[in-house]
Amino acid sequence: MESFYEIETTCKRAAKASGFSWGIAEEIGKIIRSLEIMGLPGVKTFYRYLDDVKDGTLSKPTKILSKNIDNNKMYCPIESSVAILDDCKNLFKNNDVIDFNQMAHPLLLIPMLNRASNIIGKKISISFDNIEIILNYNGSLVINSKGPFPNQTNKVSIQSMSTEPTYSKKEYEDLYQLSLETFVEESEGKLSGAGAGLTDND
Amino acid sequence: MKINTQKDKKFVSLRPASEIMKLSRLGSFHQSKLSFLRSFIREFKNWDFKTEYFNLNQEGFGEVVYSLSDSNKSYSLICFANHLNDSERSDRVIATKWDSSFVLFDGIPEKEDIVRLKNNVPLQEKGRTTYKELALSRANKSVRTFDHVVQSLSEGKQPDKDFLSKVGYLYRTTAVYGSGKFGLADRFRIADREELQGPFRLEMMLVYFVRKFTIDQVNHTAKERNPSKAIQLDDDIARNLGIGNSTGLGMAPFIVNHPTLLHQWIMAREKALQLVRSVQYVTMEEKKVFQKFLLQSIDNMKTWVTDSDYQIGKNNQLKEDLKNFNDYFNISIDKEYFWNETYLWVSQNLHDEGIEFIVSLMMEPYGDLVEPLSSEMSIDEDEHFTITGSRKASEIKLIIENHYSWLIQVDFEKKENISNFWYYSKNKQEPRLSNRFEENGSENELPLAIARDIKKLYQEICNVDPESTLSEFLLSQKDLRYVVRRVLMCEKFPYSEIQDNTIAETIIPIDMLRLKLSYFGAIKFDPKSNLWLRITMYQGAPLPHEMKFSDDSWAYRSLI
Repeated sequence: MESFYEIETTCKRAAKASGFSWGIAEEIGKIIRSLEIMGLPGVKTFYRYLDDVKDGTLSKPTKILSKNIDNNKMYCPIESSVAILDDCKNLFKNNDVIDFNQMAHPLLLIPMLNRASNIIGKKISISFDNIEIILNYNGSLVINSKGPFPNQTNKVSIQSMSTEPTYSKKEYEDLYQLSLETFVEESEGKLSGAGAGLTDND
Repeated sequence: MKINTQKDKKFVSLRPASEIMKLSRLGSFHQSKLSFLRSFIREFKNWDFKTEYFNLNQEGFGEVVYSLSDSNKSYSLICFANHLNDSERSDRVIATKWDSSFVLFDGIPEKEDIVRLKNNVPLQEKGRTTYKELALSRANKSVRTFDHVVQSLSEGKQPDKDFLSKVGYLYRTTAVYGSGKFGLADRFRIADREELQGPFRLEMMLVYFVRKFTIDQVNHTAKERNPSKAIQLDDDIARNLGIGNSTGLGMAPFIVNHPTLLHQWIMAREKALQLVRSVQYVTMEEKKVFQKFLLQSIDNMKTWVTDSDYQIGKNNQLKEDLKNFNDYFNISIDKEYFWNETYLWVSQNLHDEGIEFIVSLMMEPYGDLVEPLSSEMSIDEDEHFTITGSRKASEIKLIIENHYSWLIQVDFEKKENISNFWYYSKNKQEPRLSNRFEENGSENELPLAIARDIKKLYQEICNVDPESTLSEFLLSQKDLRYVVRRVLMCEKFPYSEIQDNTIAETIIPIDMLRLKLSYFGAIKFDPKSNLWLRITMYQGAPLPHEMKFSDDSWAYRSLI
């Protein structure tokens, strides 16, 4: 098995040889490396993706909109996610949904959007077919599928999420009250154990 | 020593990048307390060294395993030595056989690890290692030197010191790999180990062990040749043998491809200089240490042998500078901020090599101030990789004007300013520099023409709405993405960019090699052409059984 360094370097160079600029090729190396570190099929997906690149069947967005529609070509996940990352603070300001009507190899979206999640400090959800991915802003992710992952999909939805608690106010309050039982009741004798004396005015 | 206060430190500024980051200056750096060889020995001096396994035949071929351990951790070097015909011996990266090959193992290897590695390590790039292996290398004998030492020892006498002083090593490494290459463990696996925080610690460890191996091999081979008469190599002679290295263009792209790491290295040196210049009162002892090492260095320079006219010129100029400096130093008067006064004299009266030599020497009396800076010389490069797309075009323009002003006036339409291109040779698998008007292949140019491409970025960014964002700019300027990233890095890391045109007709690539090698701790630079040079590492360093008792002054010990 190759090291992650080798995977990143080889994929970067393969991307450059496939016509990407060095700047995008650098991003691609890190995208594939990230996927492999996560245990997702980065190299396999990139290998198939390059066939689409060679055939010229992918569409590059010129600007990311809330609804991105191209009826002729599949959107390129690399170009799309790079453009989203570059404009993430603006795009995810109001938690609007970003839709693509069709996209090739949507798995390749994950690493760049993961970085976006870290930058904006909010979780980002990605959904396509029956697959839901939640990107936590600490670099981890939750995914409801072990694969296989689609080569193309007819809809991708991406949305940042405000952090809502997973618990009710009462549940938290009850726990807090329970935690107070680890504290000790005050008495006159114990007051002298307070560092500043009986008053704060020394 | 009066410890400098924050107030004192502000009295002396860091030297500006515009002064230091020129290749002519960077290529004049010398080893110092911050060098990786020296910080490696400081870090591991209290670890226990052991020969775990020694199995060499009569001719010195076979396997040896050494280990370095503390109470929690061990590292091992596994050495494989084999016969090599003289006609097969080559230092080129395309060679397929070597006198010896080495792998640094994470822990103590089991028998099955050694068997597996015996089938792979001698193959080097064509073999495979795993995450259990940390670094990989190979080396060739300096045949004349090796044979002379073995023959002398087998006859019961020590080798000729004058003869040894002309070479300074028994073996030359021709590559040292780490950080995930050829299946080796990725950096992240060892990133949180405190003992490995300094840069290239594993590679320095490997080379240190290899030196031990070369000495053990000559002793063993001599004994096998003449068991009744052979003697061991004297420790004083062994100590003055290092490990040679042939360094070619392969190292040059590194300092361009790792800008934030380069900044950390340079910043540590500049901070060290700032701290020393801020010392208010110098003691007699501190002056004595400095002068002792100055005189030792002038003496050691006699062993700097080279055929290169370029290097001979530099060495002669350095000798002259050090002589002049010594005359100045002998009559200099003690006063407040003595080292600052000294530095100001040096910067006005010496050439680049002399200035940087004295900068290195000035650190020597101040271990307490300088040595902690070694831990600041690494960085997580991925943390600074992402482009902040919300930055405005006007901000990028300003960063370029502030940090890259030198290149704005360069005319990249002129042939002499774009005469070279960097690429990877398909046949030889190594970086090359060729003339773009005489050779094919510039369409596969490596992204090392930083100055040219930042100038292009500047021209493009001047033509867009200053309030437009980088994210908008990059949608249509994908070719410039990689330099946009560098410009943003340079804003936070001012020592990250070489301030020279790396594709100009006038580029001297060995200046790039010298910079990295000085940080490794190499001395005795011997250029064989404009494109590669020989160096020696660990010459004068304590032997493994001496490490615990060593101090950091070994780099100035008198050489053969």
